[in-house]
Amino acid sequence: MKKTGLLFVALLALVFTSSAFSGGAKESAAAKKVKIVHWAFQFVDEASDQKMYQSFLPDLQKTAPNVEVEVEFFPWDGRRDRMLTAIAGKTAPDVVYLNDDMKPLFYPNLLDLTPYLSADELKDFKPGSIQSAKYKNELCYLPVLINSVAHFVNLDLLAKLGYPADWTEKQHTWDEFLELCDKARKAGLTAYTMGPANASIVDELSNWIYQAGAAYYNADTTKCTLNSPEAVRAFTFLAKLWEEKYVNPADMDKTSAEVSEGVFAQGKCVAIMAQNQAITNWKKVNPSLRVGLAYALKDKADASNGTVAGFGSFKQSKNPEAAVAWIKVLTGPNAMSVIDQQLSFIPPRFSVDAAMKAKMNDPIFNRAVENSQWFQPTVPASPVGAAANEEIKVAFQKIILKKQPVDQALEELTTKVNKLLDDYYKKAK
Amino acid sequence: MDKNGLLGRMFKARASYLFIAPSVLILGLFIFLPVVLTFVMSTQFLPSIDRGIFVGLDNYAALLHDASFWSSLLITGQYVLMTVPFMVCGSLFFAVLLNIRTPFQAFFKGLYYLPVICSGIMVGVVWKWIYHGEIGVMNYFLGLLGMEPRIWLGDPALALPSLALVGIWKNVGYYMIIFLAGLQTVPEELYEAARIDGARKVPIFFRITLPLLKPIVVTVLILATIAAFQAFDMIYVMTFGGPMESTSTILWKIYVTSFVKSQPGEGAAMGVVLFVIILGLSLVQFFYFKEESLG
Repeated sequence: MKKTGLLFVALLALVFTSSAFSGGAKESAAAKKVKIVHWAFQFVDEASDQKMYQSFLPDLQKTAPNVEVEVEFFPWDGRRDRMLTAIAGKTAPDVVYLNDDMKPLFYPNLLDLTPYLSADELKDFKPGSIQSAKYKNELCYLPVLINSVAHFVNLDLLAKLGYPADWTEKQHTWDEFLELCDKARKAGLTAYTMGPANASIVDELSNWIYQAGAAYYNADTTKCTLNSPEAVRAFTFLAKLWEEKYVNPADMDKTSAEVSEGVFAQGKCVAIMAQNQAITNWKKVNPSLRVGLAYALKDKADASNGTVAGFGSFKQSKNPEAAVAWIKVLTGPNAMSVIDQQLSFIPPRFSVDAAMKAKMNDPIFNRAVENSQWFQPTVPASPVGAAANEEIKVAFQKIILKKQPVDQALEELTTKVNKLLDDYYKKAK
Repeated sequence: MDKNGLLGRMFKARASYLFIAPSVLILGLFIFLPVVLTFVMSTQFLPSIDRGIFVGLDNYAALLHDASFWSSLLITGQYVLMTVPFMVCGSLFFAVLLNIRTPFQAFFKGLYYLPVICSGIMVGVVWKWIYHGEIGVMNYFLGLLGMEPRIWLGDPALALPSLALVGIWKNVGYYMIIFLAGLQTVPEELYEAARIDGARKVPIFFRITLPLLKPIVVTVLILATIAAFQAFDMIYVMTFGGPMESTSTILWKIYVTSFVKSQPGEGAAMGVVLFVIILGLSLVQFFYFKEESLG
């Protein structure tokens, strides 16, 4: 009896001990699971974007099966302030969507992805896109999309002016564009539209500046060069568009988004400079709008510009390897083609180009890919970039309102930006 | 411990201190601490959000030579001069009218107060359409009068007055309520006595009502001036400080410097300057009332 009792107690002890061990094993398995937070901003709508990110998880499971991703959505507006606050409060997410103008703002808090990527992994990316993603030789994010700014035309109004349907199939010069504007004005149409009210006008100005063969800064971004003869030429051309009323003077108080979704989407304007994704918004406002994408205009140089966005991480992330694993999935060929297809973004990977062209089957998209061969970042990364953009906006307003001659306005602008740069480099030593 | 000393009295009132402690804590955390941190930040250069380099009074010295800063102070002064006199006179006028008993008194009180409770952003969006260069109501009425349309928010000469009109429209109801309350405190006997003596309405207003309303007029004047110094939301929606920085008030300048240009140290220095200006106005009010009460 005593032996039976002892045997029973031993058995019980064995059962309890093995449960404890297996619980411990479960705990250690659970402890290896890593959860990362991904801040996202909606491309289409939150529900379909969330579904999209969920569809990428199987790819993550193949390379990092212990990583869980929590995707949190925030509005586009105020995202820079939100991220700055998170960095200051040490609550920055592990993965976040970044634009190229954010690099100087968040540096040196951004995780340099260079050590996590091999040369082979970077080979498939277009050089211009990687250049846009770098700041002070650090790879601040991996590109997922290129959003190029280009000339769109209203095909119906173009036909009304007597232009052939294949006008957009050839590259045109600035003089030919002026001819088109003149014909439009004589026909009582608004030839072109711009929204100079806020600093987003710089997206468009870059196109003209680069095509004139000018540059914002010197090679090491220590001096502003917007007082060059080429820059003066670009701004003189733009001033002429306003002076000749090829641009409606009533657009003076509007932003680029307002004129894009206003006068152009309503079919009242022949041409506009806009980003690829604007097409989706135009279709919502006016489904019957027929648009064509022209080749980048040529003056002294072939040039197009835009923004390169991607996914990056912060140095304060507690799980950088997990974050990079998710970033690699998001910027992999599969995810990239899904993300880019939503709003007609151009893929930064060579390997995705052909597949996307076939999938989109859209001449506008094909033209955008062709234009991207001359791609440059809208504004080169500079520690005073945002401040400089504000000064550029003011100088441009002075020029088109004829408050200052072009060369004087640009000389004053260059002096101001150089002072900003000198002050920054002096204090940051 | 001496029960009649400071500590003794504080100990006796310990329950009271406990009751006000949460409010003091919240005020301290969300009001006083940010003010102190702003002062600290104004002595720094921040190349990134988490790295501050002490530069002493360099940011203030830079303001002395910053033409756009002085320009923003001037523009703010112009905005104050365009809005405050009209707001004070307008709100007093409406208050006097609404003080007359009529069947629709409550309705009109609500109507004039309605813009006050609308958000500045919403007001800005609506008025941006009213000022639209082609389809706006303002230009429609100009057309009826045979005048050329204007680009109200795109013309440097017109943008600030256009904003001032919106500011007056939005806020006159708020000060009207303050004046209404003041008018209720004027003893009816004074009016009766004046009427018996044969005085007419206008002299009654200037000889009886206005002198008795003087403290309220000064209060409204100072409140309206402080509010005008803090104009921001409508500028954000309607003009972005333009065109050509013609509507770049001091608060707009602080916002752009701190958050758009990412120069929070310089922005904080501007904030301290604005704080000193508004503090000065508040002290004027304080000493005025002190003199009035001693008088």
